[in-house]
Amino acid sequence: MEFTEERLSRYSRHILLKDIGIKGQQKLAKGRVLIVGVGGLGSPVALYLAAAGVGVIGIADADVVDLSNLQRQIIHFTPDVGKPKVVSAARKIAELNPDVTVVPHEEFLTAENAAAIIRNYDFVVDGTDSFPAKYLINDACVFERKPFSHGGILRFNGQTMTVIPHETACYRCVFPTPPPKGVVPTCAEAGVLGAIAGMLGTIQAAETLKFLTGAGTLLTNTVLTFDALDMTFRKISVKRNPRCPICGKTPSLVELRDEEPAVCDFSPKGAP
Amino acid sequence: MKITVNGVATAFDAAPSVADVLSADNIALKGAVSVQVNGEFVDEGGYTETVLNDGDELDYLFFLGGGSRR
Repeated sequence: MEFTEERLSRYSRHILLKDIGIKGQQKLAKGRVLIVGVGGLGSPVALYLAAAGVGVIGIADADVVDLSNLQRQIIHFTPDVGKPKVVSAARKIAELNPDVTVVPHEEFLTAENAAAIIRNYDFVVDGTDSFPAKYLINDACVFERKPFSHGGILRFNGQTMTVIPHETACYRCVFPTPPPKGVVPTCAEAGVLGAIAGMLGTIQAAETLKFLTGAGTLLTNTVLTFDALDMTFRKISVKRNPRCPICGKTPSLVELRDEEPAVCDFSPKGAP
Repeated sequence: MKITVNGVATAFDAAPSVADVLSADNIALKGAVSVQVNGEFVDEGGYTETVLNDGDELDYLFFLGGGSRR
């Protein structure tokens, strides 16, 4: 990418950073990132990656904007209710930064399409709200050896981990199988403070930008969790699990499959 | 004896199992957490038989599923 006066001005605060600079900004311009789910997490991720000048941003989502989304899904505005989320998000990204190419995938990731979609990108961001989708993203990224950022939020809590498949712990290393039915509620059932999505999504965006530029140390082999009620942040070290069903010593998963959606009908005592 | 549970030193009268520590924190439901003792994952089948020693560190992580959609 040619650094015109306008671009030097647009990205000046990045270029000033010794860990980014012109070279890092060039890497961002060449970066290709897939955001799966442009909702609570995907909204801030998409906006920050667009503002940062990431060259290609793919957004995969088959949902339409609902009024109940607007409390936290900040890329969508009131007039967008009823529109496909990829259309709403693509328009905001284009207005924010015309340097960015948006690739809309107006579909949900499935065992059939995941690998083919993921293959086109350098990095994947999990912004989904269901365990089948989270496991599918993990599994597809492990099979495709595609680095990704896992993220989850609920109520006042968030948790994230960055995965470099076959090098660092994957989601299944920590959580080998989805939770049993009824054990873990989703945001739709238990609620979530809107700003929590921003906190966690912004961490995922920062991890993406660090990955693309090589700046700093990624949240690999580390789960970052926070509780915004008292603003405690914790980093828990994890390592690759030799019994991991997908990247362990004797993997039992050898091809993509869709996990059964859990029916979450109540919230457990003691859960976040 | 003291066990460090999620970073907090916690006193127990007798050597607790992983199951004891979880139930002390009101985590009754199976499959709700991922457990590590001194940095090693403990499978759910081993919660009762895995007994902790003074000074051990136990970390448990909840599943958090939220993100997109309604």
